Amino acid sequence: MDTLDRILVSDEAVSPSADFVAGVMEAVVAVQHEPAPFPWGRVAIGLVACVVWASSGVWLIEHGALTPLGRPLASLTSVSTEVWYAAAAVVLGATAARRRTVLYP
Amino acid sequence: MTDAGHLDPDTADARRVLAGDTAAFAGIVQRWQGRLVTLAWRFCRDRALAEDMAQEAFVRAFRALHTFRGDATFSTWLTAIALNVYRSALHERGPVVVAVEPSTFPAAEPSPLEDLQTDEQRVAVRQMVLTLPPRYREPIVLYYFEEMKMTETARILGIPEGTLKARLHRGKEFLRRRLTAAGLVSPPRSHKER
Repeated sequence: MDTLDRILVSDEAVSPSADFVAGVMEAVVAVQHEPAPFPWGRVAIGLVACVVWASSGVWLIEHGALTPLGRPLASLTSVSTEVWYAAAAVVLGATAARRRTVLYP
Repeated sequence: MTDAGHLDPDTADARRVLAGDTAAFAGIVQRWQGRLVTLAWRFCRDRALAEDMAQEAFVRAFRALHTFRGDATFSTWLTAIALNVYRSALHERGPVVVAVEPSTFPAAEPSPLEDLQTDEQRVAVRQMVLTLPPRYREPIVLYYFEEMKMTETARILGIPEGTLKARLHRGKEFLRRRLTAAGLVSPPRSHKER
């Protein structure tokens, strides 16, 4: 442990004021029956990510970069390859967002 | 989470709250108020703001209590929520400005870090941590100020331990440079200390 380490670990602690618990419980009771705010920020980021992801997939398909991968999928149904890539992007994006939300609500 | 008959107090209180007993949340607040207020204070060095941020963190934890599944300790789960709240609150407030009293460092020539003698000088060094970018500030606050273990700090920050070690190292280098640039300390005598 060097000098800087020793200075950093010797930081003091503070004590909450006497009415802190009461204040928190008042706030908790106040929000108890309120619905949780909708996470518009995360939704917006997720939508933008999905659009970018799907657009890049479409762009790659149009320029032939992903044709070998997309052709077998498209041949299974009459649905176009772009739709498959867009669906995959949405599923992956939703999965990633869910993982993040569970870990860090 | 342990066996149903041997629940730790936090898990037991969390279950009571989820079963509809809101008052049981007071036990959680009672046990963790010191930790959360002190953690908030270490990010802003403002007592009133720290209490406001800690209160918001508890409210957020109350809302998210159903997501606590016991795969991390309650401490890790609660601290991760608090850190997110503090990060957002501090982001909204803008960059932290640290004012160091002129009397704290009266010498015309800055001293080496290891020669800082007074508590005021050491407090000033710790305050400079607030000026670091969040990617370095948060690991230093959790690992050094809060004296958390490397594993828990990495888990709270959601980064691998190797990344945490790198950020701690770079953060301290950053801090040394800032202290030197601010004229609070002289450049290190040798590279041995690093």
